[in-house]
Amino acid sequence: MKMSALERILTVLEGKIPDRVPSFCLGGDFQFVDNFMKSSFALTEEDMTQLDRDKVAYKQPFIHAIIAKFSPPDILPNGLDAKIDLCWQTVGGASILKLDFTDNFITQNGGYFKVLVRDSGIPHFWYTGPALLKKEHIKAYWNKEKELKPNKTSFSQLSKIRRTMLKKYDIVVAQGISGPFENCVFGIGLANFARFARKDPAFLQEHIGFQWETFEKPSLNMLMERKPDIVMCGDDYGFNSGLQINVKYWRKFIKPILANYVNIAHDGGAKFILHSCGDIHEVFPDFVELGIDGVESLKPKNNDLAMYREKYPEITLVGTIDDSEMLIYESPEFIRNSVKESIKLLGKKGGFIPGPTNFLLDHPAENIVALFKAIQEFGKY
Amino acid sequence: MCPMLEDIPAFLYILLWELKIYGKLEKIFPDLQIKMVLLLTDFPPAMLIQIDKGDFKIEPLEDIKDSKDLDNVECDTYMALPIEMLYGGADKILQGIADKKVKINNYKILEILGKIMSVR
Repeated sequence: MKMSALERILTVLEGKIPDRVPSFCLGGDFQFVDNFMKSSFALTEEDMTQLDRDKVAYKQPFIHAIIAKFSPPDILPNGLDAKIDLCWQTVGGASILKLDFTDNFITQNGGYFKVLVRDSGIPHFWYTGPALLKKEHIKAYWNKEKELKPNKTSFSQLSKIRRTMLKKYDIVVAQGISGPFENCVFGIGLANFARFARKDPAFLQEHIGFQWETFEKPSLNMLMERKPDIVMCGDDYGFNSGLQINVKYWRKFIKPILANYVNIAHDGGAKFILHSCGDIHEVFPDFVELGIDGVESLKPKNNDLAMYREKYPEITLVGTIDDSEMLIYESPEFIRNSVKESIKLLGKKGGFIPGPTNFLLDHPAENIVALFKAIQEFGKY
Repeated sequence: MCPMLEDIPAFLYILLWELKIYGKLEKIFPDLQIKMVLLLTDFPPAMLIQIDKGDFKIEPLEDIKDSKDLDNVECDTYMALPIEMLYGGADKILQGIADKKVKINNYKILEILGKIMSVR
């Protein structure tokens, strides 16, 4: 029996077999929007009339309007018939702070965030480094407690977007906030994290506790008041070959807060998916212990996906289709065959929601269409 | 390679770029030709925003760092205000005008920025 996207996703996250393998897209950056809108797959006037009427959001990096373009024609008449079942959106980090020791913007987590327009005319924004390099910087940041509080309005907007995407386009929007590791490290930097973890653990604990109490916990509570079905939070723990910090410090400082995230989501009746880049095999057993339902990104070059599938059947693997090389440089036919192999390897017992491992950047539109068409083609049980 | 724009002008560029790439800029302002100057008083300098029949250009005005300098700039409309008022939306800006915390020479800039920022 044909399932809705929500039934399909929840079935997989519960460890059961759905009607077919669902698909996932994290979102895309300006360069991808530029590529897509200049391709033969671009949104048409007719598409945009429907999307505007339904109040679907166009904004980067979540690009819901482009994700909706992949719908079957019974949902969007000019749809690409390469359905995406699950996508993402986060809230938080929107506050911009001014602190006395710098002229630059500081975001909610205490990091610098650069917005620029390249010579090509294509904009870009990204985190560029920690601002809170000294203890007095961190204390000055703590004094901004009031400005760091989350804004309730952004959560109600989030809820409207989620309901529209589900009702009109049969697309589940997983929603969440940044995780405790990113919030801490984006603000104080990895070097400070490591130094405080060794030499002043009480201070590090105080900072992590401050962020938890000031905006992470209130944000999660506001999110859960809106009753999302799936909470998905981003917290990049991995480098290409291992964790960014010693696993014992991850367990001491980060894991307890991550456990709070998972518990708040579960207590509110939602499933919890974690987005975490890099090689994260060391903490996979901890993810099982915390009851995390799905882990997303999982670049195949950095992770032994077959081992995860075998050893941790409790956790749904989300993403896994290499976005940093294959989806950029290979042909649509190569991608089609690779998706076929991935589904054969990881998806035959359920527990798999394939999609690009991260935000789409400079990917050719035809490769992304080939990816989602292949999931439709080979994702049958 | 230096980026063409950074920070506040780049933020505004993004809003206009998104409208342009989806073909909405031309739809919303089909015949508009205007030069506007916006100064966020806590993040100077000012920027010149030109919209010209579906296209746009943004340029930082490195010498314009104070609202008193705005009367010397060649433009159709200008506004100077703190960033939190811009974020706060129309009500906050109108209150700021009443409290003389916002300097504005005519309301055209408010109308156009309102339209730009309201697009999803």
